[in-house]
Amino acid sequence: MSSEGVRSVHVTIDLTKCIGAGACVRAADRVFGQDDDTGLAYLLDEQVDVLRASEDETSGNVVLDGGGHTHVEEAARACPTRAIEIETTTAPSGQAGD
Amino acid sequence: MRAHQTLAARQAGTVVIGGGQAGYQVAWSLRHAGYEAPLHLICAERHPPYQRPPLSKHFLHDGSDASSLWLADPEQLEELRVTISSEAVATAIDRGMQSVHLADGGRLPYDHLVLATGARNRHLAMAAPPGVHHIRSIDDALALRDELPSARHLVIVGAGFIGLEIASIATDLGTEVDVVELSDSAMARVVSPAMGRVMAERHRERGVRFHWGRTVRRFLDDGSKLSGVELDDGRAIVTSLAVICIGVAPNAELARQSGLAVDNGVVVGDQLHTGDDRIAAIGDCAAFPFSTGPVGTGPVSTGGGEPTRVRLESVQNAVDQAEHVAAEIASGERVPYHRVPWFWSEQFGRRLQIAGLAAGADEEVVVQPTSAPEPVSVLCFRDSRLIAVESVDRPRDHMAGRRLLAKGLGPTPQDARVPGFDLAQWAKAAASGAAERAAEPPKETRAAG
Repeated sequence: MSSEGVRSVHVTIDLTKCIGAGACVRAADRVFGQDDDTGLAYLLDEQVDVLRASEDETSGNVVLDGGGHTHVEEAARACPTRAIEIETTTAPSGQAGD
Repeated sequence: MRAHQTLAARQAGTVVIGGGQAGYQVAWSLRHAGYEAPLHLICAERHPPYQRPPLSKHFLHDGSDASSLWLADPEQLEELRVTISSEAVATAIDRGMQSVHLADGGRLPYDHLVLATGARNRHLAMAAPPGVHHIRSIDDALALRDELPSARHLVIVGAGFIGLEIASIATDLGTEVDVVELSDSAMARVVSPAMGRVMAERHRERGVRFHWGRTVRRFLDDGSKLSGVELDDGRAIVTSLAVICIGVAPNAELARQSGLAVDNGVVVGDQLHTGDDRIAAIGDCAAFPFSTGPVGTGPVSTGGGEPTRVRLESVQNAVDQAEHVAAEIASGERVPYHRVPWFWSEQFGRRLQIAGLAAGADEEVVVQPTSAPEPVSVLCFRDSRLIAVESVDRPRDHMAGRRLLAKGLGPTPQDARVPGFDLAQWAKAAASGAAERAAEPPKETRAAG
């Protein structure tokens, strides 16, 4: 474990803003999915530690893999309604490891 | 021989004229498709590629920085290995030499050229004193944003998407709003009269005043600044702030000067190419063949003539056409472009979504699940065939609309009028029905017409 800690990104999707453009899926298809019925975005369980999912919002943490670009930030920028909020945090080492 | 030519030609790469959503998406999609040749983006503005939709929405009131609208930050642009010329103007296309001339004297050779030149605002043919705004760029929006909070009154000319989005923002800020509209309904170019009425009612109940069938005769000024707007019926509205949102004109002059066909935009064929095989046109500037048939069948001509061409101003159109052209450049494979158009707007916290093109509809059915005015969907038909679905706060209907239109399927107006009709449920039933039919031996299932 590195002593630098683990960089993780907290992602929140405001579902009242989402219009199903699919821009987030295009930018980061390992993190975001798009509901078949509503077209609304959601966080993929496999990649994201999904913390909360309600009618209006879904949020979770994405752990950045060893400095590799996860494209999460790109997805937030690409969203035409700015429905995706991201907050980068550095967790103390050992908390987010497996 | 052919392989050798291709290899040599690849060295010039792709030049994109226009650094908006469409132009940026070409670069992004090319790189993500593994395209390795040089990429050059010619941008007219000083900003890197950015999103325009927020300019008439949250950007007007939330105080966010212009950089929040960028489609990519400098680091991401570097990753894309795209060379950007900012505040650059392409003055000519030398089609023989396959090079673009820039105003600063530069010349950019190309193997593939993509025209993503966008559109510019239409203006009223009259003097406009300070206080009269247009909105298209970040700089336009910043100028309006500066004046909006202190304005007691705002006159908006044009009740299209952008005019009404600004009306909703200004009303929320406590500004009195008058909307002057030449036609007799809201967003008439994009939505049905029924949906226009639904949305106009939301504005009226919040105090927005509409002046239907009216236009501006002249702007009044106090010697230095706007003091009022005089309408063509002689009425004057006192105001120090006005914004003109009467649509756009395609930037097609460069194409015309280069000998390419122009007719309400740069004319392209079903693969989005101009008359020159090396030059494609996409996004707001491109007039492309459109049909309402199922996706995959290609545009159909009606009665042996030219197919109907449309020019759409939307994120969907910019992105989908950019992806299409990028895929073709990267792979060399040519297929017709055919996607379901969709649009959205935000007004007074309502999410309006449109799938398909309602223009030409001869019948509308309003579907309201409750006694409240929203959520609501309007289904638009032509010759009893579904051509557009407009919904307010019913994303399920919108998505069902996109899927059905892509397949060329849909309920009849009679189906939709049955009390309790639900488009999403109908679409699901149709899909499972289609799955059952697919399991059977093939047979003629669709009658002509």
